[in-house]
Amino acid sequence: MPLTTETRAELLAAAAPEELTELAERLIAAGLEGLSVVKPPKTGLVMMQVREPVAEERFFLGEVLVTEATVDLDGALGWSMREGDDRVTVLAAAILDAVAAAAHPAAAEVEALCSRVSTRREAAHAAEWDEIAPTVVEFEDLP
Amino acid sequence: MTTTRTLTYGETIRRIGRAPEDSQRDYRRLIDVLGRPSRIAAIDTVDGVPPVIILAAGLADVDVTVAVLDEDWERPFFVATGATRTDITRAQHIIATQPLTVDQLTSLERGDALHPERGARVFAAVTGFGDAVDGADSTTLILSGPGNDGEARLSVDGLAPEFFDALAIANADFPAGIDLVLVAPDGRIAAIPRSSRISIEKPEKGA
Amino acid sequence: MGYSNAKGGEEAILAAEQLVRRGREAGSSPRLTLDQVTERLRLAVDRVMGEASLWSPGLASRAVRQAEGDQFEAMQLLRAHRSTLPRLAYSEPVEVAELRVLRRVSSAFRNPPGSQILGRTLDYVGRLLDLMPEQDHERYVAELEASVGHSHGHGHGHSHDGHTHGDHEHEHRVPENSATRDLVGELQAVAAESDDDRNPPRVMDLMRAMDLLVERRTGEDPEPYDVTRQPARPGAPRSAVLSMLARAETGALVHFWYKLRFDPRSAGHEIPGEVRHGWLPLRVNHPLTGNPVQVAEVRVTDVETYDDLDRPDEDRSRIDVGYGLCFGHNERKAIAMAGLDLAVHRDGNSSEVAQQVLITLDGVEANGFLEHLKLPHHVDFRSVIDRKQAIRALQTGTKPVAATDATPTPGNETQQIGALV
Repeated sequence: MPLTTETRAELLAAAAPEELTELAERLIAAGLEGLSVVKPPKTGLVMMQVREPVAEERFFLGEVLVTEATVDLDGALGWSMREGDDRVTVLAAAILDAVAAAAHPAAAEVEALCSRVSTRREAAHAAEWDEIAPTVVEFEDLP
Repeated sequence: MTTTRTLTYGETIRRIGRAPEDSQRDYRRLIDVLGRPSRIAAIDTVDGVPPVIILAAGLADVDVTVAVLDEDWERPFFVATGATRTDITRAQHIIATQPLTVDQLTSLERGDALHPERGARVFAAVTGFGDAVDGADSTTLILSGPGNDGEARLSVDGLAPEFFDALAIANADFPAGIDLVLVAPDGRIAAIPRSSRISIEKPEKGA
Repeated sequence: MGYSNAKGGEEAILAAEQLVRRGREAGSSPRLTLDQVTERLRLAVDRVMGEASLWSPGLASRAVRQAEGDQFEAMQLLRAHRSTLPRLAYSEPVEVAELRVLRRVSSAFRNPPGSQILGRTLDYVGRLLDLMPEQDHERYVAELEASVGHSHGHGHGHSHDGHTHGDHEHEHRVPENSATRDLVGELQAVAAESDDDRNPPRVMDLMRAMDLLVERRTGEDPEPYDVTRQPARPGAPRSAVLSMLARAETGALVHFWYKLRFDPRSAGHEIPGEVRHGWLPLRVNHPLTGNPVQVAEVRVTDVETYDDLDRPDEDRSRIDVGYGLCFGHNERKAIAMAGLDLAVHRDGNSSEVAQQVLITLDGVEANGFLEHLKLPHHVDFRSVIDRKQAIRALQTGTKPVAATDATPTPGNETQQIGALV
């Protein structure tokens, strides 16, 4: 089942820098026809809005550092935004996003990468919980 | 002047995007003409993108609310600038590639005495500044007020006199009001800030 | 006049800057890597991010290192850097119920729905200074790793401990109102059935279900106040208060909260119903599709705190609630925040409490004003001396000695001072 644009963007945002740059560089070396940069990688801030639970009103918690880029692969646009200031990796992610959006032959590799990221993320969450689970308090019945 | 896009979507976005040096240069020219309302300056043009879009893009970011009154240019403008899209009655900046109607003009936010900065700024495409030999489709405005050195004249092609009548009424409650920036297809720009009083020069009889 | 125009100090200042730069690299120890700062001094990094109001462990660790551990300096570096960055987007509003817990405790209920999850906390650790010799450290770590394998018996994938809580619907020794017990029990059962150990139901939902809370929800959705665009002053909405509390200096917050609690008029203290540490998603709208995309996760601490309404003009049949949320793991801060949120609300927005919260708790405001004291105040000080001497002269009936007296008599302090100014 193909990923939605949003899920793909989310997984590319969560991927490790090395796996993104490795794949992007390999595809570029093999030749990505019609690739151009639409919005070069730009580092900036996203203001985080939170809905607090008391009055259920929004407030600004603070800003998060992100980097964002947009590319064009033969008419199909690719976009990525990731936490941090790593411009090279964001550009790679945007390129891979475009590869998938363009239904380029290498799209399957991008999907596979996303799948690996998803699996790894689930495993990380499970491992995180494994560490915490023993600290859950269980009350004993006192006679 | 064609306002329809002939470039690819991606290329359009790329060309709309302004580098900081470019938008700063455009901004200085804008300040120049806002300060002297009859003066005409020029911004650098970009192939395939109407200059009115270029000028407005340099001044738009996520904290500016914008209404783009052009179906072709709306999406690429917002993707390129990250500006916040809103409707014409609430936008801080309005971009019109076709003449604004009087109704549209009167629906814009004007601010009030305590918050004049809320008044809208219109970026309107015009066909020229008194270029036609016979003066067809041209309105000559007599401007007075700050920056006009007594009385100054500005000829605008492509906007009906009724539009300027409506603008004068909208700006009658200074400091509330609407600022107007005019952009021709070759990149020439002029501006009428709300501080200028406008009257329309009647054409001479028998000319 | 007693003082002349003088120039100088520029070379001294440059030399001082050089001294700072060289001093930072001095000594025989290797440079701290950024990983060392984020992994070994993680709580300092968390605190700086909170006070700078910028989530970026990478930049915050740089700031902590450059500031040589000075919390305020690091925060100031981050705030200054942040002011050079463009704002790219506003996130989609995130509900705090989405918080994926790393830790969750409640002082209000012994066994809240979803359980007490102690997590990684110092709360129960004895405060013994570790005097282990440096060379024993490696062996110590090896022993730690080995012991982990033993306790991991049941840990694989999803822990099922949470599911056994449904069985614990037994009689508690602590006398409890039976209605409360039933409702708590109900909610515990619901929590037990849900697979979502990581998002336990919030105590506030329980409090609302028990109809104990003042209803603060108005159904309105005002735009949040942006303290980065305009300073918040008394009369500013609650969103401004929450933003300022989120970026307040931790020590100042705790002290101010404590000072308020010292008030003899306040009986007792509020009770936190929720203290959580965990992950919140950051979502922005995809520029091409317009749909939300999670682009990052941010670690936060959040607290709900409950206080008995006991003032004559309050509804004493109800409990009111305060809320605190900050970047990073900083429970002291979030607990104080929640207490002050409630205090500002109860005192009314234009009170002295609101003013102090909005203005005096900010690190840059307070420290900035303090640090400015080191700027030259020579003229001010000279005029103070002049005034004292004039008063002295009036008191003793003698003429005040003017600074222009040329006679260099011993004990002519004024002239001596003149050379100093």
